[in-house]
Amino acid sequence: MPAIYSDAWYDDMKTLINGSADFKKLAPKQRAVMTLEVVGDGKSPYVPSGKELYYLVVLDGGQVTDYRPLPERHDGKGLGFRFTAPATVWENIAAGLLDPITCGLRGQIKIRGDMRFLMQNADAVKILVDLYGQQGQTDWPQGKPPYP
Amino acid sequence: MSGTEHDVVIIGGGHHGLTCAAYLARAGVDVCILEGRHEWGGAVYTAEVTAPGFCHNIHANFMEFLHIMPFFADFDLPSLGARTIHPEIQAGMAFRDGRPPVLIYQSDMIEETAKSFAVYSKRDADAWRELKAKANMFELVMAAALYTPPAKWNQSESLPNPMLATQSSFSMFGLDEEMAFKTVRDCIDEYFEADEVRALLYRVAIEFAAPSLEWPGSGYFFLFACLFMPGCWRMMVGGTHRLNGAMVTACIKEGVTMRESSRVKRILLEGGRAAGVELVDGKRVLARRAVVSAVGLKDTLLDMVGAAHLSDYTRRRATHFKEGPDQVLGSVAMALHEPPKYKSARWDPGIDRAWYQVVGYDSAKDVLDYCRAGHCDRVPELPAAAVWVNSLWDATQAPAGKHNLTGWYFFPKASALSEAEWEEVRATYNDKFLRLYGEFAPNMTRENVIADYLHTPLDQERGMRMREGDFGHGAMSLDQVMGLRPFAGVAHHGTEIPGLYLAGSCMHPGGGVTAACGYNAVKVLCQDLELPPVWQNPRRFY
Amino acid sequence: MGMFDQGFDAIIIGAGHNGMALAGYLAKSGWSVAVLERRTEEGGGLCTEEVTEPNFLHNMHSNYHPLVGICPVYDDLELTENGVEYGHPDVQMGSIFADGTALTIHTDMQKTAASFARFSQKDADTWMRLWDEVSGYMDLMVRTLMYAPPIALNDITRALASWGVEDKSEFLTARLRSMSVAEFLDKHFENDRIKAMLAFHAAICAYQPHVKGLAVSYPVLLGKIANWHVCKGGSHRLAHALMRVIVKAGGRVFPQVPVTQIVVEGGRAVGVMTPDGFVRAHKLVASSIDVNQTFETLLEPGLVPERTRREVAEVKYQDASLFNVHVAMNGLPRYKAAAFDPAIDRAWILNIGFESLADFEHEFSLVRSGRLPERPRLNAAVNSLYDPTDAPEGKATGLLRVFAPFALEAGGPEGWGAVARQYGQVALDRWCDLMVDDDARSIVRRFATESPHEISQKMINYRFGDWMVGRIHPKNLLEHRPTDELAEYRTPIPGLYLCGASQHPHGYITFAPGYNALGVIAEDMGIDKWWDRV
Repeated sequence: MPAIYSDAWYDDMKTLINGSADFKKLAPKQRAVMTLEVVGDGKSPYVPSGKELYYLVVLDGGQVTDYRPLPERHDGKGLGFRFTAPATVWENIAAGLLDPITCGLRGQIKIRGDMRFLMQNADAVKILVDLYGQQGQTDWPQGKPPYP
Repeated sequence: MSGTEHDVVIIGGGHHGLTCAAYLARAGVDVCILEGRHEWGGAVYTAEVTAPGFCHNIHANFMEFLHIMPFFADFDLPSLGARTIHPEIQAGMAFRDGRPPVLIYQSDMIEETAKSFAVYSKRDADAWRELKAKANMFELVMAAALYTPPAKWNQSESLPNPMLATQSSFSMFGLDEEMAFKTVRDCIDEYFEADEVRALLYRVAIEFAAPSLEWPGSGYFFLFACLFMPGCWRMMVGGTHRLNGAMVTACIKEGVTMRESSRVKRILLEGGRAAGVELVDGKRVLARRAVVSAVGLKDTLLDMVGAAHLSDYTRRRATHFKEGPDQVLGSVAMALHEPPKYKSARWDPGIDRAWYQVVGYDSAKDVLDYCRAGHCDRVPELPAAAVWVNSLWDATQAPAGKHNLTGWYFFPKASALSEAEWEEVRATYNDKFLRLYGEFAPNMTRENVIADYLHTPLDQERGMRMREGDFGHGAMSLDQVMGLRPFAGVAHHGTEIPGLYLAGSCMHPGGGVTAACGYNAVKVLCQDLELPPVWQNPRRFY
Repeated sequence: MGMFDQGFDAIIIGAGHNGMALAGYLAKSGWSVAVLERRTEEGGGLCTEEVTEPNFLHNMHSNYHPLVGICPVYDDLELTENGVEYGHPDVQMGSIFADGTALTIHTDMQKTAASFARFSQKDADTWMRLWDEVSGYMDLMVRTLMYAPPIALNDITRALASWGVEDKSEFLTARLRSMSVAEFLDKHFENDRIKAMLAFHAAICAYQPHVKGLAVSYPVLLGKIANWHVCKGGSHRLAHALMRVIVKAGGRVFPQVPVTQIVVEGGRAVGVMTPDGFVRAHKLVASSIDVNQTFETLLEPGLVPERTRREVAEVKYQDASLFNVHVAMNGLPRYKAAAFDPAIDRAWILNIGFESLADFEHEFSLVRSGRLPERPRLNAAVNSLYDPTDAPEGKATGLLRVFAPFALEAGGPEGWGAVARQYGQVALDRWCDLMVDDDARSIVRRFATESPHEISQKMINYRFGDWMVGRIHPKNLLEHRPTDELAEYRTPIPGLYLCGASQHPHGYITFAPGYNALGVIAEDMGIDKWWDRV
């Protein structure tokens, strides 16, 4: 099983999404470019405190066409969405311990971008976050990140 | 506030301060201008003081100098929103018994004015033909006089003598030099015989900055206020405050840092030099090169610098600088259903279309008594006024079909009455005026007035920081003009405190919308700070 | 050269804060822009005048700025650098009750809870949970529901359902869309006065507590309850700053230039007529005034499609306006209720007279019938508490407001002329009754009143005295504001946009209508959205 944030892990995620018939059916036809930003918060062993990881995800016609790390923070030009959260939040979501929607409501994930688009495609969004949280596999022995 | 240090800090965002700021910024100086009020422009001010949509110029209204004002041309203020209207009939006097009115037309419409004078006196008509033609040629002399700083003076020299300039003005006209020593009233009386014409000219003289009609040595104002200025009056489209809008826009364009609601408490001295200012809220704005004050003389020297930091000479002169008793106004404002329709209009309907309408006097003596009352600290018994109804020319100044009347009473100094007494005047005087008005213009009844307002000298003092309500920020008596304004040694804009300059109406040439005090200060500052002479314009010699 | 010879890329009708903000962004995007304003002064509702006596600065309309630090315009246009200064009162609001008790809302929510706890511990606990929840999604909500074109209510509720938000939140439910604010408060709180305080906050945002369906916006409103700011030196200072932004970027603001007609050529808006003649708009005309003026007065009837005309004629305005009393005072007021809660003397916005939810129902139904309450319930604010520069040293400037009918049962709108002064005195008396005796007798120097009718004459887009420029009602919010067709800031006439308070979300100093129109214009015109980097 691939380590979280590894290229292989992201490939798995990509395969997962691209394999979802439901998502393909519900996903908007437009291209959507987004970044995920993982902020080191001192607890996660994967992202040193003060460091940030950036990933670019491109969805197009219900398929992930691009999913890769970025060397630096996206300047926002041409970007549709930006999701920013502390590393432990992302990791707990990946482990299925935190609900991503709840994290959005509580402000643990900062969301930037056109919410109208997300709301109009609410079902597709739901599938996507479920895939991230419940379907993605990690290499954690108890299915939990290696910290309390 | 970001950037609390600038090359030059200007105190006061009236039109002189704005003038100074715009030119200095154009010269490449980092300028910050601080205005104590929430609004820019000082007395270049328009407000809806009666009812919504009625714009009243309760301070400055008549713009006589726009066509010679450097700021107006150099910064292309018309393109920034300052548009003017030049009413054909500039002034008129109406009469209670419906006698023919006396009208003054634009400067080059000498014949029309003469015709109106001729109703009462052929001799007066001829006098006007001769004098006004000469006065029209006086324009460039006027411009030079306004837009040149008085010469530098030091205490070893004899005092500057304003009489020399006024005498030479008379001789330029081919008139007797001795006229300069006379009173305005004597000058008027000498050339004009009809009581009606005299009455109008008396009122015009005091309105436009002449000191008392009866002070010897005020003869110069005969040339200036009675002959030259009537005919040059222009109004700003949209109200006087639009001129401010254009000036502010010019300043922003030039990169001036502008801070309103920033009242200066004191001027900071460092090693005896003006180094910046402290605001009432404790913030400091430092000046690397100069502090320029465009507010009142006493405010600057006595309050902001402080008497303790002044030489005896400066302290004494500043303390004894006179405000009033001339140039003290109460402004009346009325929202009207219809404009005044005068009895005198049956002889000449022009009176209803005169911009500056004098109403309430039956004779020249009435005007003299009226003027004397203010000098004796009394509110005039006769509630006469000069009024203007700008909506007759500019529909944007009142709601559709309605009219905005504004006007001036001459009142005693603010300190002559207590606050309660002024409130009493506010509560009663407009009614008195209206009762009198109705006898001159029968439609001027209470029913025609939607709402009214009276701005007292005390309001002028408190709101615009015009001490005693003196709209010129200092009397225009012979000892306070030209090289003696505000007093010898300071007239050249620099003060005894290095780095502190004056640029307000307490300087030559005094109150009114000239933009000259600020412009002249710029000329001096360009020299002292070794700046490029940005004020120079090849199309202009001053 | 004349002011208008070259024309402009964009002409904005109306120099209110929305129009000026749009102009600022466009000018900073390299466009030539002119804002044409009918009144003598720019700023629209950002209007500060010395209506009582010199040096007492009265905010005639906009007084509360609740989106400072939240609204992106402040940063994008560098308004602080351009001279705006705000005070942030530590005691934001308060209620003084007839029995001498008082409630206070602080920026410090622990203190707010402590104040609530004196009336109900349960409500204090509920409040903290509500506040905690709202704080979590406030940022997202504001961006979603205010600083973006309107989202259809159905889309919102469908998304909330799809995401299972009801199960994840104590306060957000799909039922909010049919509930009133009063019902929301009744559901969650037990104490009448706490409910009245919270309903008061909604009411001064023009969210009448008993209007069904407004609860859906209540969480967003609540999120701003501790963010009310005083614009130092008067609200008009914000207009000065906007003016500087526009002019620095090469744009122009021309007050006292009323637009008399929007000129359409070949079906496209190409400029406007003014008393000075035609002014060409090379790219667009944006109207920040109300839709009735835009479509019924400024456009020739033949140019407005039938549907637009019909729907614009149906636009509804608020049935409650405001009666304002501007007060010059000899000092800051001290209240008897300070014996109960000393913080009340520092509370900026005061509720005086609303003690239960029923009071609101009573008051607004009276207002709807055109009658004046004998004992007016007030909202009172003394800005000098947090901006001493708005009055001479040691003095203070106060504002009393009463929800009031535009047209009086006796005399209609003009009927105000006969009663305004006296009613102002009644309102003042009620306020002074709450002060310690010395203050009650001597605090008032002078006052000036401003009736709904006068408001509508001064700010003619506040039709019927409606300072929100369109009623706050489910039928006139989100995708329905001002009409279904016009909700997206575009109009059926190419080149003509709407950017004022008539648009989503509504009036108030939100800048959102102007900001959202900007986004739409940027998309249509291919402007790089430098301000909107996701």
